[in-house]
Amino acid sequence: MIEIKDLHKSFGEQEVLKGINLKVEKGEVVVILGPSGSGKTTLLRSLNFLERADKGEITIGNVQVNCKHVTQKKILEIRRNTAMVFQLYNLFKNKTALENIMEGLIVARKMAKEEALKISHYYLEKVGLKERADAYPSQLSGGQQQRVGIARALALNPEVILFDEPTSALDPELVGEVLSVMRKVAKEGRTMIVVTHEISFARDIASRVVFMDGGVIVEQGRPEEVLLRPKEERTKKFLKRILPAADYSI
Amino acid sequence: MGFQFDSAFFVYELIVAIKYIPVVLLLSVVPLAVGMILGSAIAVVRLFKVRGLAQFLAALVIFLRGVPLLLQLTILYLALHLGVDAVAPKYGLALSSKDISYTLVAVIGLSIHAAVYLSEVVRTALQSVPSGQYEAAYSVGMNSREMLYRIILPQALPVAIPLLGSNLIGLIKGSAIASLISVVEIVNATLFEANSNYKFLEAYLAAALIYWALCVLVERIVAVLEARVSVYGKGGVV
Repeated sequence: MIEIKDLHKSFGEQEVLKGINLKVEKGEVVVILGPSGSGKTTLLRSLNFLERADKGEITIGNVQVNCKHVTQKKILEIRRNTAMVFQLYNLFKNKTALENIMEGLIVARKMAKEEALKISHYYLEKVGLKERADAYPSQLSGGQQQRVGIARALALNPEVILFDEPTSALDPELVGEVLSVMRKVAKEGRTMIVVTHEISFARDIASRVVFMDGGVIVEQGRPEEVLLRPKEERTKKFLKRILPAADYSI
Repeated sequence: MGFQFDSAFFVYELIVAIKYIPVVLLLSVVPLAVGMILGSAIAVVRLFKVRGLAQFLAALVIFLRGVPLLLQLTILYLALHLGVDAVAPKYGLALSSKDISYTLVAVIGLSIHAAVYLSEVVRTALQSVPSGQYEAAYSVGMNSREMLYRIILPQALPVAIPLLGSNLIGLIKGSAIASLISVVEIVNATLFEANSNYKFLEAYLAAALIYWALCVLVERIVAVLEARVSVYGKGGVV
């Protein structure tokens, strides 16, 4: 359903993606782990063309794009097949929580206002923020903003939802509420690609863990395989640093 | 023989000046509006780095900002006059340089002047909107036009309003320079009256007072607008 073929991206002299090949099936929850600078965020952002890869092929649903010769029209098509949840939430500051969810539906999906309203209310309630429909982002906590961000992505009903370190900017107390919404989303069978440092999420919810380092996929597999019985040295080194010793030795 | 301030003449000049306020408004509000349209176009082209055009406009902005308004108006005036006289006969046009009103030249010149400064105001305002807003708009599948209109401009406007106010004040004061290309406005009108009795101080003070009053009015309006537009509350520091 989502296929990435030989993706390359350089920022000036620095090659950040050195030939990524990845396939994601419908309903999978793929968690991408890796040290900073590994290229995981660049990979995610290349999927909806917030970064433009230099070389490679990206297929999302029924849209296939060659990164070297991509047109604005194709970029829009790919973006209409995806939705992103950002580290800094990026809610539209001049719109209320409800309007934030409706915005993409009305403008990009050309939906009628009544239908968009119904869908938006449904997803706002789903993330537990029904009473905050008329609040502006500046009036919401970080956790609340992120949950609206997730509702905004869900409402678009994309082929895949891209999560770019969704809890990294949250206070520890608020991380839980966002993770539980993400768990709900995963259990419903949505296709998700998540870049995160939350190992518990990877361990409990991911259907596949991908470990990236230095612009390549070092290893990937089921969470138990990669997190508990890593094969590669680089993977072991990374996990040793971020997992408490007790967890790893199991 | 001491100096006696002629208050009666001063008041007379005030009334003369007030009569010409519409001209000043024409020479400031119209260039502001035209300048906003042109300036926004320039800003958007430069922000989106449209190949070739962006660099050309950047150079044009730098050049035009370096030439004093007085020279911009006089050069435009002379260029139009000489140009029309040279070109019109060739094309059999009934136009002659005498048909070009001084006021029109002043409005065009001030509009170009305004566009240059306002393009920077608009560019700054657009850049003050966090890049995350642009990214979120793109990621839900909006194209640039939809994004600018629905998300970016509404957030850029509160930032631009104080700067637009200062630019309007600059244009109101700059309109006085139009007096030097024979436009009849406040400076010329008050001066004309003083030519016979040589009471220039009273004349200039009256003119100054009216300009000052207009600028204070603009500042009050800007203050009101600023308060009304900051609904979204950046939620924090300022």
